[in-house]
Amino acid sequence: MIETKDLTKMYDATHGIADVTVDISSSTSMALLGRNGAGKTTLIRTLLGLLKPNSGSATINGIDVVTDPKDVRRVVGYLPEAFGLYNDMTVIEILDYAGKLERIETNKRAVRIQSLLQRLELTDIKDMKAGKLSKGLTQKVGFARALLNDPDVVFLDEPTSGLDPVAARTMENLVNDLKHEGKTLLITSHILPEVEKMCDHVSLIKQGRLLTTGTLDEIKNQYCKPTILIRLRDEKSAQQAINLLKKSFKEPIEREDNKIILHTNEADEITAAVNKQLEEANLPVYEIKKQEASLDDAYFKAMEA
Amino acid sequence: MVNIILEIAKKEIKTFFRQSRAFATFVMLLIFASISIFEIQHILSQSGYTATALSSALGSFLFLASVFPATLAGGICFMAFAAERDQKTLEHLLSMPLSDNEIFLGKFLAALIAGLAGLLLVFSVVIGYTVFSNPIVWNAPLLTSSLSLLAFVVSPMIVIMFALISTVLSRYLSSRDSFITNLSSVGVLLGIFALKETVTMDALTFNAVLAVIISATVVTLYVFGARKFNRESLVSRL
Repeated sequence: MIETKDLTKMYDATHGIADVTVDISSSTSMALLGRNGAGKTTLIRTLLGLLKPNSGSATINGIDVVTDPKDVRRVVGYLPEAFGLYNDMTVIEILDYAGKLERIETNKRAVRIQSLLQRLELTDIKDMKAGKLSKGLTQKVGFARALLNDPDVVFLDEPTSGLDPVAARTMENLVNDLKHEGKTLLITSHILPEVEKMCDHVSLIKQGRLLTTGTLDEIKNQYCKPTILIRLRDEKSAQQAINLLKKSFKEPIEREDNKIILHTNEADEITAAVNKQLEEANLPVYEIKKQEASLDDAYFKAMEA
Repeated sequence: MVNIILEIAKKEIKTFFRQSRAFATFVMLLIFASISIFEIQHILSQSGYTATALSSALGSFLFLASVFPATLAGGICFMAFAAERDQKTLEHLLSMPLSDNEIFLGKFLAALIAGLAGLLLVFSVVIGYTVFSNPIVWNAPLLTSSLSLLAFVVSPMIVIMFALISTVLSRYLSSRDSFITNLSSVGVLLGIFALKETVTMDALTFNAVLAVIISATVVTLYVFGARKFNRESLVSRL
């Protein structure tokens, strides 16, 4: 569980995070979205106690990140965005070393490492030097290292960046498994379709300030409405349909060639009525369907605002 | 806490000796041990093979031999943070449940252990070779006050000093700049060696003054290094 209140960490007048207030409960995976330099990594580093906030407060599982950063780091697993491994060490040596520094007892450490190697399908490469691993495998080892202390809270900074689709899918599955295990996840990513698969909550951050926080659907609906897509015979019919529908609906309507797009929060309720109205006006509908708003659209609208 | 410091130190030493630059350090061992042995042999051949002459010669050239452990310790300490940053492993290390002291002392201890072991090795080689390969007349004890001060205080403090200098510098420089610490340690030690050979002060006084200056430097560096060591300053340079 992560709670922040008016958390502020400014490097200078324009860079950092300001007045960030979030509340992320257990079994939640929250995506932190924003442009490069928006403050995503700064927020994570501040929550880890790597950066001292200028003001505000933050707790993880009730532990204060300012007064007890070491205790916070005991319950957090972290996969940094640009991370590396000790190239001269093997995968198992790296995990064992990390386990020792996490103060995991010898017996438990061995069991935990074996379990993570199996779970992340790393058993075959456990004796390979890290310097010889591919990007995908390096990312998996980094993930294993982050999960070594069986953390309650996991921070993943761009976990699928640079991965091929198969490796990215594996990562998505892992994130979803962790969520079902009751862990709290805070994930930053620029790959929005993947965010939709991995996260149930979203926070949008812009120039260090949190724009909004909510479930995926809440964020989508906040910035974009679902649409009804109607395909007609030709452009002329489409224009006639727009003129007709504008009399009945106040929602914005757009036209693209022979298609019209009706933005509405009541798509389910009015689709049949729209269809009937057009048929009665002798404007045959070739296709009519509801389209959900995408996170992509919501993100761009939020960032443009 | 001690276990963690030892684990970090062990890993640092292993990492250093797995690298090619460890080979370069041992080349320095050969060079400085050979020069020292050659010079001591030369002095003994001129002054006679007596314990007094050997003690005096060792007083000069054990100092020169300290260049090897000083560069070894400096090298390990320098790699401690610079290599972590270059390999992008530093942020993960800092996000572990470790105190600043555990990280700092773990890295520093690695250099200290390796440096002092190096000191023991080079002294053993130089003293062992010169004692056992020459027909020494034991007219006086070998271990004079001056030589004791040099061997047990000045040389170890030199190793500690360069380890600390390297630890502090490594926070600001990349691992490719490690030659800076090596060259500076060689330069400073050769400078002191030249000074020792030219000043008219007796060996005991010179070593005592040197011990005081180096000890003060070590304390200052430790206070500066430990106080300035914090995660935020390291993270902000990532």
